[in-house]
Amino acid sequence: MAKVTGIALSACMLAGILLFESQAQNFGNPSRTDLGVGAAAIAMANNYVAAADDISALFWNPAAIAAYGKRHQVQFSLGGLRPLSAAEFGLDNSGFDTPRQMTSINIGNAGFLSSRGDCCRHRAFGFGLAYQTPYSLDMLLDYEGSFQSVSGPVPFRNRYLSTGKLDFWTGGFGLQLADQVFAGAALSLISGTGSEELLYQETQSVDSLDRSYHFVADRYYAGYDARIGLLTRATDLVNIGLRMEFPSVISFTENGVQTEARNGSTEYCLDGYMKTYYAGAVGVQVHVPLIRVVAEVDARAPYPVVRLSDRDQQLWRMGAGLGGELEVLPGVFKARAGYAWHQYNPNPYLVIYEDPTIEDQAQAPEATEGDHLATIGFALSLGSSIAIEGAYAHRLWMATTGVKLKELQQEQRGVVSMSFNF
Amino acid sequence: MTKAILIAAAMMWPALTWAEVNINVDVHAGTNPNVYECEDGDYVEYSDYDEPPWYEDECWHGPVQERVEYRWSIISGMHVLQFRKVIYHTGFHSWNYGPWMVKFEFCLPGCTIHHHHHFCDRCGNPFWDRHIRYWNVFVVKHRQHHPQPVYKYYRYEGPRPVIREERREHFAPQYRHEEPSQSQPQAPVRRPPVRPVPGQYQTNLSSDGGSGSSQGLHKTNETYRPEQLQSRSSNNNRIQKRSGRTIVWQK
Repeated sequence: MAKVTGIALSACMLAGILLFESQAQNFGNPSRTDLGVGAAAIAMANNYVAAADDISALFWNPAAIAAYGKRHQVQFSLGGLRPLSAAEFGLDNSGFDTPRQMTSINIGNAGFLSSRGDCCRHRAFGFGLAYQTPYSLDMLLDYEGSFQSVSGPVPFRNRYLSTGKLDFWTGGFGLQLADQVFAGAALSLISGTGSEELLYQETQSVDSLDRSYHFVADRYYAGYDARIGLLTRATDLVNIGLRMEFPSVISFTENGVQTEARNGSTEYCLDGYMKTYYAGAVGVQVHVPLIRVVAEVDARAPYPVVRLSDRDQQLWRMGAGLGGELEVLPGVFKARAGYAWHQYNPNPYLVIYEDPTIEDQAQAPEATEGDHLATIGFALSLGSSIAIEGAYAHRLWMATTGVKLKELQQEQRGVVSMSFNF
Repeated sequence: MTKAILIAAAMMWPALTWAEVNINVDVHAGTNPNVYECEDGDYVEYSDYDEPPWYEDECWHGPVQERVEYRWSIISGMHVLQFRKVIYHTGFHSWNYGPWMVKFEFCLPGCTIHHHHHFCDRCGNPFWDRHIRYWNVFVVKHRQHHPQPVYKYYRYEGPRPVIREERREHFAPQYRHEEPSQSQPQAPVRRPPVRPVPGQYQTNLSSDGGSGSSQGLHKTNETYRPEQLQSRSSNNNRIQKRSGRTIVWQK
């Protein structure tokens, strides 16, 4: 345990050293919020690679499907997401303006799991099918200010709104490799929709050039995601889990309208694809009577360098977290909590267009403190076959762009799930 | 009765003499009757040939590259989008041009829409069909069987202010020998930053002309000028050649 904690601390220190450059974000490259899958996982801040024991294991660690004996499970969860955004533009430190917010409710996951124990000289095997929504594309940014031009001060306002989600239609399996060693794999077909709107308005143009623009785009996604997992239950007390995510490829079609004060309105249609890169996590769970503690370290490898310039440099993105579960009423009620820290990653996807595009020069936001996620949750057992779980998560990160722009981004996430075991 | 028939036949004779009976038999063996083919000899008809051609739908069959070439033309006073298949053999450097055509529908095999089909090879994305509407002068691409079809428009934007004769002399000989990959299919789409910071402009510039040394770094304050918010391609080239010093365009 002490060794794992040491690895986690080392990873945090390394992440802090590496945190000196981040990529700028342009219109068309959506932000991604990692919502997580399953109320139990969210309640422990998504530190679930070694602790997964339900249908959400398809996402966190497919090897866990076969690791808990003979069982059948049906799970359904409903979640809500509310991003809040506040921004300040200028050097006067007047404080953040009124937060903007929006709320969306959707299905968190729904799935079926069936596993066969390792009885009767057969090795354990299990499979699962699920619908999951692990990623949201919601983001909100709204600020206004003024800048000095050769003709005088020019007030402006910038609004950016991104909505959408990615649906994972996942199938996976887990099998027993050796005594207390399990492996698994899951393949997800991805579908989804999203939209982006960017409005930049110079409300009082002093010079002759009006640089206002309004961009709107709708997107349709289709792609795949693949991941494998490994789980070993070295003893009855300790689980060690490993997850590896392969590059996920999502093609999209984008229909948009770009309206510029100088050039008028143009409709366009773009094809392209988004790509992630290798990612993974390693975690450990210690389970003693009434208490379960999990720790996890995850990382994402950098993209291949596609453009040789300083500001497009891609770096490792790392994170770590802790989670715990306490049986308040043994067999009836459990309380959970967790915390996770991740390096801020403004562009989780590498976006490649088949049609020509021109990216305007953008400054990279610098998140000096990273992305913080704090969660709480509960699990209530109604008899031996029905369990109700709930979780609440609060994510927070701050960023500064070009000295003048400061952002305070928050997200509130609530999930309730019901599981039937038979 | 026989007499009446003879009289009627005698009265019909002049009519039969002057009448012209036309029987049109159209035989479409594997072709679409809605396809109009226009040979190069008909080029004179296009009194307003005002846009250069462009290429799309590239696909490769070994060393053979196939592309579809498009151009705007006028037929019967109406702007239409013409297309033709262009085949380029990289080994022999030979070009083969199909006839210019205008189609109502243009489908891939398996299309279930009820209309006359004209099939093409499965190039590019198999989920896309191409429809060219003659009467509205635009092209619609949509994903078949998709609940929310996606469209792509080619609208005629009007003639350019160039004399026709000059354009003919200029374009007709050139685009035939032009490499398809060098053509510009459409104007690029802009990607503005999500977090614009107008009035402030940070980059690394070297006070000693770009020697790259870290000594002597300082900040200079200059007034923001609108032309600095240009596209990335033009802006970056100018800025990235100078590195080492920091410039801040202050509020």
